[in-house]
Amino acid sequence: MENELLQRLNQRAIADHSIVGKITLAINKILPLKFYVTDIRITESDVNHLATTFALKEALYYLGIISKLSCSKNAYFLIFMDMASADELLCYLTGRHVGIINRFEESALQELTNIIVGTFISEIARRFDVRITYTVPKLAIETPSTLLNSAVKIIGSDKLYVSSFKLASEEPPIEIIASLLVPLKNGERFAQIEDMWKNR
Amino acid sequence: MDPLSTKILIVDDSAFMRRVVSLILKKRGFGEIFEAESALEAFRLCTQYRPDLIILDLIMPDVDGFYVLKEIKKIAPATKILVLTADGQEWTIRMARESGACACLIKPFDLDVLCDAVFEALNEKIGLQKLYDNYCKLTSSRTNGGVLLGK
Repeated sequence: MENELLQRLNQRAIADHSIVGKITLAINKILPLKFYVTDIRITESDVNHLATTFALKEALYYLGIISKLSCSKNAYFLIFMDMASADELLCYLTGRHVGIINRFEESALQELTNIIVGTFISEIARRFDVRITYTVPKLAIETPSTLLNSAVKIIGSDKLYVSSFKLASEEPPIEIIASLLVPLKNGERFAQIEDMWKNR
Repeated sequence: MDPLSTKILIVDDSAFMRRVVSLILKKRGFGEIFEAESALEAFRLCTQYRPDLIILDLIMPDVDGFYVLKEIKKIAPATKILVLTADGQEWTIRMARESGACACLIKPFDLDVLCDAVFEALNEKIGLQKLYDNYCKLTSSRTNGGVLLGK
């Protein structure tokens, strides 16, 4: 039974691929870079496993951005990028390498995230005929474990349905890891989440 | 419409977006540009300057963008409001229009599209204002008879 559900969710991942494709189109529209999708995964996991899933390096600082989504069930959209990627993106957004991220640079990265989240939820809402609201993305720079622990506190659960994808550009090398996180209550499994995603 | 004589207020919590939009509009020759990073500042500037156009970001921290839109419409009913949002859901666009926005642009958008939307909104606003001013002039100067304006 579990395998069957996993299979169906993996089929959903194919649908997600076209949703993520819309995001790459949106980013390609504002930045003169060629982004493509390198990885899509759907798992039942805890937040801390994301570090392993995406090989986040504890010795490095990352930019973490989180936004709360609300529809029939609350969910969270989490974005990670290493500081080298953030700096490259800022160079394209603001026209210069800054090194230090101040309030203006923060708002530029927030705006980029806003476009990623907005495009994602617009596609989900259109495809599944649901209405979703979302909050202004919050940003922090920390090590992966600190960021993920903060995410657990915000989300209020470490048992999650995780749908993740990675966007990358080759030149310059930029990686953006984005995850849709749906908190699972005690005993709640994929089946309940499948209801949220089912086609109408 | 003379773009130089127009007043535009940009309401966005993002300093980056305010700067981008402001630079583009200045480069295209649009008149006075004001900026507000919060709803409260937007209400204050709106009361003080009565802008011709407000460019409003719908997703702002701690406040519902639709509430901001409706409040601005109460303060300055004649002001045109152009909504910018990354949320392209149908209901968002419909709600924005029903709350008084003259148009809704979904991010990311071409800068030319933004300038066209700004020009169109201002043209409509200033055009109506000119019609109204002409009507006032005519009605105050008339002695007999009157001017018939169609519905």
